Amino acid sequence: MEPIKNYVNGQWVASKSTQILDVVNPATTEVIGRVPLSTPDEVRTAIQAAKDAFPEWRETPPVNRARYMFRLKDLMEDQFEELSKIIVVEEGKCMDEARGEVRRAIEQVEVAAGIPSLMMGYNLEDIAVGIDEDCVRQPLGVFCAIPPFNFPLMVSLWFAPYALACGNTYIVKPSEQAPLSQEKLFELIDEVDLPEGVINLVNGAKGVVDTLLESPDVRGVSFVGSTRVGRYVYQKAAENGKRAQCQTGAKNFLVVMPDADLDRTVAALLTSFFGCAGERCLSGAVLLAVGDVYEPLRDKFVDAASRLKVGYGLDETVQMGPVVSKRHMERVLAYIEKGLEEGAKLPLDGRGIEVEEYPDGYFIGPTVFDEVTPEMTIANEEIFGPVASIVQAEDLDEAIDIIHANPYGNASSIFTSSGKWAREFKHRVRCGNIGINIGVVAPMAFFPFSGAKDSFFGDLHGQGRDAIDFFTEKKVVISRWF
Amino acid sequence: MELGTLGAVLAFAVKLEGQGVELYEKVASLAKDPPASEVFLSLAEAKRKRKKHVERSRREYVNEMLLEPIVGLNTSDYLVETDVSSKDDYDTAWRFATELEESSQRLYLDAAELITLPQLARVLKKLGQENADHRLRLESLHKRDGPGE
Repeated sequence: MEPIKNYVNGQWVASKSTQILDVVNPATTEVIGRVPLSTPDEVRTAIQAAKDAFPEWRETPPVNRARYMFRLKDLMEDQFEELSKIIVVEEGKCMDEARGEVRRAIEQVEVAAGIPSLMMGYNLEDIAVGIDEDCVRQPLGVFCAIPPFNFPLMVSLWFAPYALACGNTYIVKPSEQAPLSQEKLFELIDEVDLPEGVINLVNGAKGVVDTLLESPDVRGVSFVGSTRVGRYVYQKAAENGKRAQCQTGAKNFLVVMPDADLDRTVAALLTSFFGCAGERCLSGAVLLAVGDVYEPLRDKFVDAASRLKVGYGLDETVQMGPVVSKRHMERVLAYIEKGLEEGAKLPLDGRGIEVEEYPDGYFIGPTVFDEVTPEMTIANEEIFGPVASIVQAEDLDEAIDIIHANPYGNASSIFTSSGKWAREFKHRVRCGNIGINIGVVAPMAFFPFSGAKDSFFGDLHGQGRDAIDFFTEKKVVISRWF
Repeated sequence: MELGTLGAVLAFAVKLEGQGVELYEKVASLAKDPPASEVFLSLAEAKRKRKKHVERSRREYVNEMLLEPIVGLNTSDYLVETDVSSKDDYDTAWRFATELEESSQRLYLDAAELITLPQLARVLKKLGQENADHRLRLESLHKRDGPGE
């Protein structure tokens, strides 16, 4: 099996690197691809191609740049099922989850197609007599994205469409664990027929990232991944004078108040904790049961979770797929062991689940810990798997204190029928994305994907108007005519 | 097989519509006269469009995996015979077509009651109503032609 190629300057180019990794289907454990760890020279070639393409691309009228986005959207719609299947096979999602990812990816392209309006500046005549002042937005140059494995198609499109639509040029470094959906995306991008060098794809790992961060020609970086790596990327980007936006780890708390609609709450909790096998930065991690809702909530939640069908996502009846890799599966299992060591109870044990047709797949069944205390490791550290921890709180104040004690600040939700409690939660909780009776607080493409504390490093978030601010600089022009 | 997820329900609907295309094309070849054949061919074309409609609705309206299972839909309640062989006569083929329309209608209307996405439920109801129209067309064709030999 030949390693997948890079896409540089409008051409598919085989990497000369001798370091090649296998891409593995996490359900069947078959090798489905091979990915090269590109060399620094290959990265520099891509950077040069993007830099060379910038002057002409930035002169392309925004309305023309928008038309490429429309074309890309059409191609993605046409290949919707194929893109979805690739995500299932390389990352482990279920089909509907993969379809959801493709839909959200397309929405980013749709919003970026509105660039003629989004990129407008503003002005004022006669700031002094006969003198006018304008503020215009201009692109900066070459940007890059370092997307994660868990949304291997969508995340690069949180950034690239906006960057391109604003007139910048781009380089994507896909996850080396799940690079095949990006490869397919770039086949479609090739059909869009952008000018050579406007957008490039370079496969690899840390070496590629370091070359991008060290290059004086790269003006900014967008990263999504762990807090440890995100902090590294943010610091290195700053050292090298680049803009950076790093969306990082999470430990999301879902608070259920005594007046919550339990049936509808449990339905939302299932998707939050176990959707995408818990491998998302918006997944629920800790279920904070307030007051006397604890017992009925625990019983309903455990019962509902125990009925989820785990298997290979290409089977449309499956409700939860495998985690992405053997290494990650072992990591999640180690956290489950840790929880037991620290004294938590395990009413639903997802270890050792058997999927008959795929005995070697990286499957972990839905797992629920009970009698978890806020100091325990499983209540504090990001597990990134289908593991829920139930913690009890006396009242909303205690619940909010528990949330604030955690270093992360990505998302948090409250389930309640009380407007007062909801408003208080929304107002006080220091997290970037707040849900009220919502289990997965996923901002739409026209809003920023927020985040706080150790869940985000930077000033401007991805998506929406924040993206336009990140990918342009404002130029002020003061003019007078004699 | 239980249709416990949205994906499973829609995949089954796509399959039924595809079976409808094949069935109507075969019935058209067995039809008694050209006007009847045209009716069946137009129904085959309708099935093609409906298949695309379900696929497009799945792409556009299903943005998230809903883990709350759908309960009460099972393929065994909606599967009908659609395999028309050259030995089958026109009346048998017509009967298969009517049964397919009836079972598709039941599937769509039953599913519409259980699905919590309003846009998708609306599409399914509309498709179910179209099945009723198709049945009427089949019945009026049968009345016109009378029972076969």
